[in-house]
Amino acid sequence: MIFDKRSLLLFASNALLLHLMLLANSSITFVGFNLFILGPLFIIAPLYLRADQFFITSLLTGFWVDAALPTPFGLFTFLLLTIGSLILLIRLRFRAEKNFHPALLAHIANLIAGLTLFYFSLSANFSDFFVLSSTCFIELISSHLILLFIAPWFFNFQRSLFSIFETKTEPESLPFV
Amino acid sequence: MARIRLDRLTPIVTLIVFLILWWLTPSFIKLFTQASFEEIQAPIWLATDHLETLTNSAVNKTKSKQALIDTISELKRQNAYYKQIKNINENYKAEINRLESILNLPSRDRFRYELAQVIQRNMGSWWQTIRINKGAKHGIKKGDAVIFIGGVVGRIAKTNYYTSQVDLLSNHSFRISASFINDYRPLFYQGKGPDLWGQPKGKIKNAPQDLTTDSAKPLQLVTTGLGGTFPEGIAIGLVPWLEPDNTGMFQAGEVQLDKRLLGIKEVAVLIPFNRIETIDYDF
Repeated sequence: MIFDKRSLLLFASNALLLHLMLLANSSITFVGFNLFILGPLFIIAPLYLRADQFFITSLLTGFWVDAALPTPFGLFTFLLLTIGSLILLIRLRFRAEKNFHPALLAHIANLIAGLTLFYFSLSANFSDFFVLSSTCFIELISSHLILLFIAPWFFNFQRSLFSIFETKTEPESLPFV
Repeated sequence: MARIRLDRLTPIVTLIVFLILWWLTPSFIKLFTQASFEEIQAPIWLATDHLETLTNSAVNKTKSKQALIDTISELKRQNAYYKQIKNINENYKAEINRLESILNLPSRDRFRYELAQVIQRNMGSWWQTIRINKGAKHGIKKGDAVIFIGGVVGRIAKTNYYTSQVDLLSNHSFRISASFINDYRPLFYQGKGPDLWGQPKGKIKNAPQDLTTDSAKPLQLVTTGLGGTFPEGIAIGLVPWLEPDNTGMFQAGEVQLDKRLLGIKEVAVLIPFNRIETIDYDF
């Protein structure tokens, strides 16, 4: 297995996005809700890397996210690997070099992750279903609006990192893994 | 008939193998991995906090001299006031110590106060936690009480070497014995998360039937000291209304928490002098 430098670049950029999201959430507590914009973390690794490299990147990113967020340890690792594996299987259908398909996938991944978190919150406190579902809905809507701007920027940033560090800028070994 | 390319299934097979391995992995290895990643991240948050402090000091440098002189004058006035209060408190403390020694009573000083700065806030629908810049190195342990100028903040949920995570009192998992001020009958408080307007809330159960309250003059909820984590009389919030609960024997209501909780910057962790060790069932 030849180590792909892009794995580290993607992991670092994913950690950066997570840190920026947490910093933003830490600063906007006066509005009383969090932004949840982790969808882009799921996308570029399965679209660009070989299966083994994707696995390493997603595993590291998953552990990193699980350690940073107050979620059950392993939840995001599981989500990143599962959603990433599905994307990897059908990546031939997506145009990774443009932003439209990755951004669309980022929204879908973000929604799945958000709903998973909602499920965990709900199982901890079922009595306040209406309030909890309403606030989660507001948070998800706001997050997806912000994601419309964040996702293209983030994908361009990751591709720029590939160019700056003189790595391969094309998706790996198409058509499959 | 088209042949199935088995190499296409490599990611799914890898995923299934990983999940089986994860399921078989002993808990202590998972906890070790989690702790390792948390410890790696701790310096990043501390560095971010230092960076914010530097930015604030740079912003302060842009202020005019007159503004700084005014601030210093105000601080001097406050200092003089607090010095007087400190002297009065020292006299009270000496009196308490004298009476305790005469009556052979155990000391009332049960906690030491560890001041900490908030370096991260997670206050949304999913989470109600903060992270502080003190950890196991400073003697903090899971379950320790955290307070601030407005009353109860929460309880330590997890400690790392340099940082700790605090479950806020608006967190769904936060439960405590409480009572109304000047009423010593205990009732049950639980966090409720934010309401539709983003304000942190709590709820109470088992309030006695004879109590009445209204939004113009809400009842003050305080800690009872039962359980030993929090001392008695620390403010929790205000209860603007009460209604009969589903048993009909008690009342239940919503608790309005201090709004300063949303922008909290400094807290104090109460570290017991005589800590009772409990078994951690996190495994």
